[in-house]
Amino acid sequence: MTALRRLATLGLFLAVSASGATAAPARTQIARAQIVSYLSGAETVSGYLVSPARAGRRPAIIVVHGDRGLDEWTKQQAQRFGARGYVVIAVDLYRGEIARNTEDAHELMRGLPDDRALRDLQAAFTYLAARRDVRTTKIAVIGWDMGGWYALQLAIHQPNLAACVVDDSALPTDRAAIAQIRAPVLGNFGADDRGIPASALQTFEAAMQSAGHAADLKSYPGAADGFDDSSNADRYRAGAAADAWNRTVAFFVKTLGD
Amino acid sequence: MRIMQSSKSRALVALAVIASIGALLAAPLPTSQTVQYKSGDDTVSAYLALPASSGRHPAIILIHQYWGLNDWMKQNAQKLADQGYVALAVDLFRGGVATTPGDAQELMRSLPKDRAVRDLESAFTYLAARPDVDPARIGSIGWCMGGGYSFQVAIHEPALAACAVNYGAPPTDPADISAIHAPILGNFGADDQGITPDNVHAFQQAAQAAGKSVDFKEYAGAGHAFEDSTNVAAYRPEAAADAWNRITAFFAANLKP
Repeated sequence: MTALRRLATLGLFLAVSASGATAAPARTQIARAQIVSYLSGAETVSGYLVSPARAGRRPAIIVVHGDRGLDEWTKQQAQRFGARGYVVIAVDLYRGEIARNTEDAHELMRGLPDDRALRDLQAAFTYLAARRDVRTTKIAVIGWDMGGWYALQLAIHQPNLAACVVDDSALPTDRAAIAQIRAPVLGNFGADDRGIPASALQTFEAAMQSAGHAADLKSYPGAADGFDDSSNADRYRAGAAADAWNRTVAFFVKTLGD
Repeated sequence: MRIMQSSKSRALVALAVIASIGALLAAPLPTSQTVQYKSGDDTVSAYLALPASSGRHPAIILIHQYWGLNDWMKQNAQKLADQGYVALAVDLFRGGVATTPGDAQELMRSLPKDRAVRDLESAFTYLAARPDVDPARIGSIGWCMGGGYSFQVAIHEPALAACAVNYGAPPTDPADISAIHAPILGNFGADDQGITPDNVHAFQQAAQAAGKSVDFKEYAGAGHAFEDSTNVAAYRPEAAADAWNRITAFFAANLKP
């Protein structure tokens, strides 16, 4: 924690570049990465902020980590979006804890109060909306596995959210809650995911459509959950990961602007 | 001949009837079974264990860990049935049972939480409609992931009469906490990385300030899952025995007539 604070006071300037997986030409931009803190209810929480060194208001993205916590891979995703000119905050729902293995991830995930996680995301939205470099009407969220569920919870409870991307996440089933979603939703899933069957995707898409909302969910054959995580050698599927990234980038360009 | 045949077959039928009555009397009544009930558009399965006595009984909803509805959960249901409760162990995973942490985490991660809460509310409705259940005496208990959902049952079901939680994530939202009516019993491991003593104390204070009945105990030297005898690394037999005694005393005080 003290190390994090030291980092925050130093303020790190990073040159971040879009990864090679991007089909579009990498538009490397200088972005600043730092740990910031903001209020969530009565608590002060921290997040990893990447902000492009550009004048004016920019679209912004809230990044929500998976069950392992705010790890290096998640920070890299924040940097990738930062390199594309977005103001990005990667929230830390676990209050500094990072899982070293599956058991840890389980212990942390099942210990996370749902209401607190949603409050943290709402607070991140408020934090971004109050920043002078953020275009308030262009704030999106993206989350992986556990984080995807919470991204959708934010979409349900934050009517001003501009876009929502989920990868390998559980999907809400309550039709009344789904009908509250205003943001268009993009999703990327592994077809071999044993926990999230194709029927769950179809049910969610149908519920979105009947509420008059847009959901674009894609299922990748030969891929399971975690397919876009290059740090997970067993699960990583480079082709599917590149396609999912391109879909995500195109979706943000469409919904948030460039 | 026809008469003889007839009397012979009558005698055989009589023998068969006597034999089957004898078998019925000798064999214990079936006390556990898999039942199904409606939850929204879905049909949910659960393991139901019944007390031996007749009449209306208090009932308990049991909520599993991230392993799913495994044998340890069924044993817990049986133990509570032996103490006079109609015990319903729900299957939130629709048949999924894991034996490795990786598989278990995959099941937990892909469980839509709104569906889980709906399944549990439907379990309450199912129990309340059973002729052998006293609907004013229904409690819930959960372990680990299921402990968090036991809190959710208390938040969403005002008629719940008792809520037991074993190392489940406590809610933090004041509106949710004030919605709880049932008295709450909690058993936590002091070494739990995911639910820290700070989290436990914060809920305890908020709930007590809101006038709720909360009885929490923290076990030193125990982490999460310390009650699970099948989890070799986590199991703490003494703490587990103490927690079980607290659970049975709590249900007896709040659910028994």
